[in-house]
Amino acid sequence: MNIFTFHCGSTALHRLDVRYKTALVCMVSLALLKAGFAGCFVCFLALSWLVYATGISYIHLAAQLKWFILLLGIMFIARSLTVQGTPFFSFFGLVFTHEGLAQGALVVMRFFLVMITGLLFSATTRPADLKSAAQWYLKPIPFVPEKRVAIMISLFLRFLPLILTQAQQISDAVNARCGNLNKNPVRRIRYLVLPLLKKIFLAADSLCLAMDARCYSEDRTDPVFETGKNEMRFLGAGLFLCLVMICPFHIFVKMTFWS
Amino acid sequence: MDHPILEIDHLTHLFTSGGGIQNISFQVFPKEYILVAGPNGCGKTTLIRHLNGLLLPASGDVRLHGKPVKSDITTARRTVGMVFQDADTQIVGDTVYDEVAFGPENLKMPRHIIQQKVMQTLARLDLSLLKDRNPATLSGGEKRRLTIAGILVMDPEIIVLDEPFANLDHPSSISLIKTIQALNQGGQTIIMATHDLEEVITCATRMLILDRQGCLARDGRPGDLLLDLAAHGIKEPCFFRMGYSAPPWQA
Amino acid sequence: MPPAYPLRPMVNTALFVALISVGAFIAIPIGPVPIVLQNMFVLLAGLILGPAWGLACVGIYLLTGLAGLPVFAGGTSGIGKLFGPTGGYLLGYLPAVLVTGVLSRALGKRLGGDILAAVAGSMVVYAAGVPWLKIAFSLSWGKAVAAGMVPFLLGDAVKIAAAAVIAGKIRPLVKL
Repeated sequence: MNIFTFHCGSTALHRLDVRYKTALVCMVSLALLKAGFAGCFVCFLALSWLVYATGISYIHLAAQLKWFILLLGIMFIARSLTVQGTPFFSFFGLVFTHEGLAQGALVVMRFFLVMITGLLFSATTRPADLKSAAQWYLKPIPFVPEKRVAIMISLFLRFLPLILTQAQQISDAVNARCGNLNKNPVRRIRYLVLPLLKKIFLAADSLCLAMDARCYSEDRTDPVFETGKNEMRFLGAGLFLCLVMICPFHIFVKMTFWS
Repeated sequence: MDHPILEIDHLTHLFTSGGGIQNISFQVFPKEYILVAGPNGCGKTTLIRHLNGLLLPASGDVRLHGKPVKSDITTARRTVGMVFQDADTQIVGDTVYDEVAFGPENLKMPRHIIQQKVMQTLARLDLSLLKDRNPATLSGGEKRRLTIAGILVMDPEIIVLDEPFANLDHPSSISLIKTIQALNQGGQTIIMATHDLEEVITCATRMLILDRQGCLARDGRPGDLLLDLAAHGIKEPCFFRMGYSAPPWQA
Repeated sequence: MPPAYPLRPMVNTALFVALISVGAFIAIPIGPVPIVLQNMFVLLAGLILGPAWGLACVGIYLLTGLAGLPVFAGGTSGIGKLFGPTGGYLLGYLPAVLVTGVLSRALGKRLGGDILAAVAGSMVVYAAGVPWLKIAFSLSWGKAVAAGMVPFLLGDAVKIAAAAVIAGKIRPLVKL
């Protein structure tokens, strides 16, 4: 079972230092919030190329995003209906406005691209590296024990698949005794969650013991990052892309259809 | 004769809820392979948890190289590596590599040494190809080897295993026995608590039998204690019950 | 002796982060609509772990989601989801777990107090989620409440009752 979206690989994006990758994702996502149609289009081209270069199939991507795309569709319709302006066409008494369609399309496109950026990131980053990046970024923040957080993320990653299978097993055991016929919903939740929690706190007991036995200490070796020329190149390209995206193109290029 | 690594001296630890161990004394010498046998609930786990200071004696003493364990817990835990019964709840790392690196990171070893030691240990236990996997996706035998790797990487003088064959199928058990035996032949001291002696009894150099009261009933060469097993509620190895002579003692 | 770390609350909290994430995947079919247990685990984190560790728990959950692990509802993640149209509900978990933890502690960790604390926590989630939804979809207040709150209230009542009962049963087992 692999509920993580990480795809193995050794492309430049896979090998990129996680700290730079996280910074790039944040930069692009923020720039997208300010980007116009032209900016979104440039970003779309760049992202499509990256998705192609990392060898992720477009179909796989679409399948993963199907519910999100549905949500975007609803958002688009809601926007087009509620924004006041010149009517474009009407449908059973619902009036779609020019301005609404334009605004809706832009908002939907931005969200879609931010989502793709995020997916591209998680597809090329080992969860274990994320933990190291989190530790590095949390370091300057006062009152946050970053090493403790890193260990907790590690434990969380380790136990997520285990708890998922356990929840499934308990639910099977309950259903094998016709627990699914119980009409009282509070009781049904109880039968599932109570054994699950009991198991988890038992696991916590042994886990503490095992960590103690292996000299658990928060004064521990820091993770290392490998930084080379590649990181600088990506950072440069990312900065350029962001500048292009927030550049007010619509002043130079009149987009006749929307005006 | 060598100096003992561990000296257990009149160790007693009784629980208010019942059970525990009473007045246990023995010494552990380098390169020994000691089996701690006894029925469930006789205090095997309680005994071995004293060896690295997870439990502290109510009375009596546990000394590591002559010094009480409780005076330097970190050294004790590093010197006496412990593998617990349930593999799933003792693996801490989210990848095989990180799991093995956890111990050395706690000891704040430099990163390049950790890298080197972890790769060596993974190769030694035949786990190198799995190094990026989430431990939850490993088979039972692989998980068990991983838990040993996580201990071995810290260069312990003694490895203590608590019921290592629980929940393992037969081929995995056999392969685990071979792994442990290879470690022992490489000079590693082993202490193993188990109630299933079938395959391991011929590998061990020494056997301790605990009785139901948590006292040390017998201490000797495994071959000499075969007649005492049944009386203490331990299943005898098959060859003995069938009246065959023992397979060649391997230790 | 080595310095003592709060190892046990730390491990408990990490396991609760995993529970909250798993809560996004397990659904119990009650009537026609399956209810997802995620927000119940957030309430339970407040009730069982208390305000401080509860806050750490939700904080780490959001951090891992933000960093790109698929822990948000439907296996999604990332900055796009956290600041997307339904992001208010997720960010609302932070004050919610705090309110639940503080109230439950102040009211003496009894069944009635726990129910009250859980109700307050749920309300906090909506107080963050609904206005966010209203702005994202540019809806009127009436429609935002009708779409983003009313359909979930029945399920929430069930989950609050279950959380309070479970918290009472589990607390004696948890060593903090």
